[in-house]
Amino acid sequence: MTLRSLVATLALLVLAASPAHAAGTGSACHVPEAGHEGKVDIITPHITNGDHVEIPYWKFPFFLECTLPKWQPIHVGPLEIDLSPTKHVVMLWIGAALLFLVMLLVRRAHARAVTRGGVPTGGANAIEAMILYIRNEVILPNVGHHGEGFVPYLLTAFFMILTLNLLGLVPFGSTATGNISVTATLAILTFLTVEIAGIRANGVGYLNTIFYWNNELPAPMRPLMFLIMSPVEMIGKLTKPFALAIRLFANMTAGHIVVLALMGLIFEFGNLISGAPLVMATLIMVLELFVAFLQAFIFTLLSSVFIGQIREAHH
Amino acid sequence: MSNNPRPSSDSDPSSIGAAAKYAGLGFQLVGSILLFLYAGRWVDRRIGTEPLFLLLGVFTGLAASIYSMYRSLMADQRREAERQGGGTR
Repeated sequence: MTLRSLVATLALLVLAASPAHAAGTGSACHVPEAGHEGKVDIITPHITNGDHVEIPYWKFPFFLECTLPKWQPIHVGPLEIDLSPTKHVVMLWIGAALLFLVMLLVRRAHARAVTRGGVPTGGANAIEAMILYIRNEVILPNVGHHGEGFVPYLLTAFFMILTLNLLGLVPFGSTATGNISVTATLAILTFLTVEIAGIRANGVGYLNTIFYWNNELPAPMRPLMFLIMSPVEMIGKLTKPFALAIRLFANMTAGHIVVLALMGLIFEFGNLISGAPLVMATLIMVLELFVAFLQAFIFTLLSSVFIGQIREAHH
Repeated sequence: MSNNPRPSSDSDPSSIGAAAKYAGLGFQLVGSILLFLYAGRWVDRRIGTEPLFLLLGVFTGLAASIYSMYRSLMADQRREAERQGGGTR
């Protein structure tokens, strides 16, 4: 019942949005012009953000290029911020909608199975297995006492990153997690979660994780060590989310570059030995499938480790 | 610690988690060296003692981040010993 109304709402939103988009400045789909001579860069357009999306088309070349609408930039003080949707923003929307739908279906299947007194089957069971594994083996052991409160955020981060990684592997898709802004936003969310968890767990003792004041040192050494060590502690605090953002971004981007470069070799070599790059590209693609899961897992694992670390900092 | 949420078996993810704490240490090392390097260069340019404070800054940053690393390792070791009741390591 709820699900049906939600789907209807989503459909209405999409319908309502599309004429609005068309009314904006130049949002149109067209068949891309063919016949480039000489060298063509196939890698850069695939891994960078842009104001175009590709949608499937039933005639050659089997895709349409759609220009996304351009919105008026908004002004925040002296800053001019362009909030127009881009390719990766569209992938974020698609990922969020997909995840929302899948999780609602899983929840419904689960509720139905529980009232019947059994367990859900098929996809719902698979998602449940993943949720339980992440919750019981990754989040709870690393976060520590009463870690249940962090499970919703960390599971959401896991499934969102996983969905975005996988959307980058389907045809016509693009990897939103291969955009440093997206991974930086995710890392900032983790950073805020970690710091707020630290403040809540340690109270005033939280200041010890930023400033270094060691009473065991001789008195004249204390201010000197305070001046030297406090910046190092702060840098340590900031480099953790920085490493999180870079790790996810670099892994997703690097995999796509490897696959695209191998595909490029097919055209470079011609018919003679094009089979070899094809096999390698296929195998790297399978590896990418694994990396999509692995990087989502690593992000969740590291986030929960950082939360656990700051929560037991006062011991 | 009666309600220790750690699973009874030493399953793989928790040991990955123990190692994962140190995943950002390299960035911390680089970051603190760079911070003290630029601070030293700034001081040098202010009072014209190039390259004294720049060099001092590099070594201070290196020493400070290694000391910070050492402290976090020692704290983890102490916690681990506490968790296992001060028994065998």
